[in-house]
Amino acid sequence: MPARIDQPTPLTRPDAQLSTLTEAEIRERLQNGGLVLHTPPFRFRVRSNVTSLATVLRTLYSDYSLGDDEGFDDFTVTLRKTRPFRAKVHFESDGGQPFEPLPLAQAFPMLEWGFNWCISSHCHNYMITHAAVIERKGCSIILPAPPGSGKSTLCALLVGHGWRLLSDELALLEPSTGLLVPVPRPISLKNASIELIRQRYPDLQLGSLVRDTIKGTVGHFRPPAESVSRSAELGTPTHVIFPRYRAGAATALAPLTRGTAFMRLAQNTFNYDLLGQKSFEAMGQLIASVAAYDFEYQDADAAIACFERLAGGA
Amino acid sequence: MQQEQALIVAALTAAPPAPEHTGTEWTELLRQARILNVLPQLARAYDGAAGVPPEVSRHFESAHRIAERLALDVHREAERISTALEPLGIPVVFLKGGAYVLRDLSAARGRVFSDLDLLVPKEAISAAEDRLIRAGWISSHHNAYDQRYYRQWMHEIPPLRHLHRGTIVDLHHTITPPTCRFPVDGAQLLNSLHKLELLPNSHTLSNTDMALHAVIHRFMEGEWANGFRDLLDLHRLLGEFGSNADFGGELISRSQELGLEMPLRQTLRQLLRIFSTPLPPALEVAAHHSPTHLSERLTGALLGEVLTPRKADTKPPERRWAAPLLYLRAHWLRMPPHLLATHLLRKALRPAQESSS
Repeated sequence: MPARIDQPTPLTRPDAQLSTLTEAEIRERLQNGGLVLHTPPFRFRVRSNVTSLATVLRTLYSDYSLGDDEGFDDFTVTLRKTRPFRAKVHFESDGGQPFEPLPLAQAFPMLEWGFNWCISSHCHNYMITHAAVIERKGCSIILPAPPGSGKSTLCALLVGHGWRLLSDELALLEPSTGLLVPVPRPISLKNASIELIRQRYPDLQLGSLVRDTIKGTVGHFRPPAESVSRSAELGTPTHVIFPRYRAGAATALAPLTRGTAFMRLAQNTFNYDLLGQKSFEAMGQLIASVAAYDFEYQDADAAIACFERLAGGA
Repeated sequence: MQQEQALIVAALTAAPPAPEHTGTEWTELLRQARILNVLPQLARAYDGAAGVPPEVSRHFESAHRIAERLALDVHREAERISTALEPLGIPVVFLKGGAYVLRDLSAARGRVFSDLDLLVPKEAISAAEDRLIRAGWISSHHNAYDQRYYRQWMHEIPPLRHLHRGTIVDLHHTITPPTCRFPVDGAQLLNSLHKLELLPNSHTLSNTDMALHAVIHRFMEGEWANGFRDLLDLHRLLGEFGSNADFGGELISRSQELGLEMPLRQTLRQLLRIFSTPLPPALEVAAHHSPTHLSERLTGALLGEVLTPRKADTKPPERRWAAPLLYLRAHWLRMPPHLLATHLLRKALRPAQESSS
């Protein structure tokens, strides 16, 4: 059925949480006009004919508000299943098609990657760094790292322990204020980390598990309700910590010079080059106001204890 | 449909544009702008306008950042190019988007593009290529057929890509392929150039030729994703140059000299239909001269189909029914049938990942 933006389904419960809708209602909206998902600071209108998506969304996004149908959507994204045999899904957002089609089973990870693409390629009003951001007692820590460094695992370990999730993947910094804008969304883990977090924190719900993606097995955990409800509270960055998981490593924080921290954070910043002088200044101010460390870890308890000490001393 | 169409066009042409849109209208406006690749232009149109909601203005701010960066890149690359070519002592002519930025024309406002187009005298093209290679630009087409295709039949050599910065330079000796239905002699263009003060030996085309280049480029093109954007450029060029009372008449006579009356007439008609562009009297007359040939009317209908902005939920220009016909037409205009048949056969028989020209 074609999507119709001119006659959207009227919302009976504006600003209600997604959990108030049944799976069938979610499916109905995805197929007609779109499900308006408010994942602060953005509003996504999601359209899809992938029926399994409703279940996953209802689990992982249950604490998020629905946007009213008359409001402004930052992005309209479509996840469309084509052909009945060996079905593939196509992602599209306002004319942009950044990915090759993927097997149907990977629909949800593709949607998440698509959300991230929308933000990182269209929102240059922020300085966007590839990093997780977490906060406890006013201590906001940026964890920048290339994939495979154990950044998301560390983030999940801390969030499961009660830290607030600001972001699992993209640190959004407002250049004018130097503050971090939370974008809490499901935490994405890969391979062995999934089982580690599942056993350690049975309360963190695993909403999607997909094997055989290009990144291996990918799992998405539901962010804590408190992190979602506090998403309007901006974070004042206090630490930049470059994590690295290494088998056999002793837990160790090694201070970094400002110059090194600046260059390494810039390397992990998608639009550092694009923003030019603006990002040079914002990065300079950020680095001047935080403590920067390299962090090696293997043992989860020791890693958590180390971060607890940082937050206690903040 | 008419109302949605008016939304993006009105926002881009009204001064100042209306800030009183509903949430749904803002959504539609930004979606159309993204699909048509004119978001930075839309952002510029709303510069300083009061009443833009913050959710929307942050997307405009983002678009500003992209456009500013590209303009900066154009100035830097232009300087490097003109320095690299300076020892040759030849005129270096910046074309299209690069020229708009370097001349600070209103068409440059928010224009986003990825390559710089240059024109040099035909006899100097090899020397210029050699100089650019020494400055770090290397040929991006390694296939022997592509190399021959460009050098033998086209008006440009294969694109040059900078080893480190990734910037792309298209080096031309004229503005249309010599084999096409509208061949233009590059020497005629070099006779009337506009000098750029800040860079050595650097120029843009004259105002009339710049407008005619935008016309013929759009008219001969086979890809339509940027059709609306190119037409918007022309709308702005004509608006700016048209403030000179002689411009309309000069454009007409220059189009006759270069054999481009028909493409100009067709394009003017599209401009009137889509943007209601205010035209100087001489151009107004040309635009209203009804086409006699059936083929000209058909072309007009096809162009209208892909150039007219539609609602964001309908098919984008490059996927509309007229697009494949116009793609074929573009090839038809480019080469006589025997060359075209050989070229398409070569492209059809070669492995998919290699096809590029």
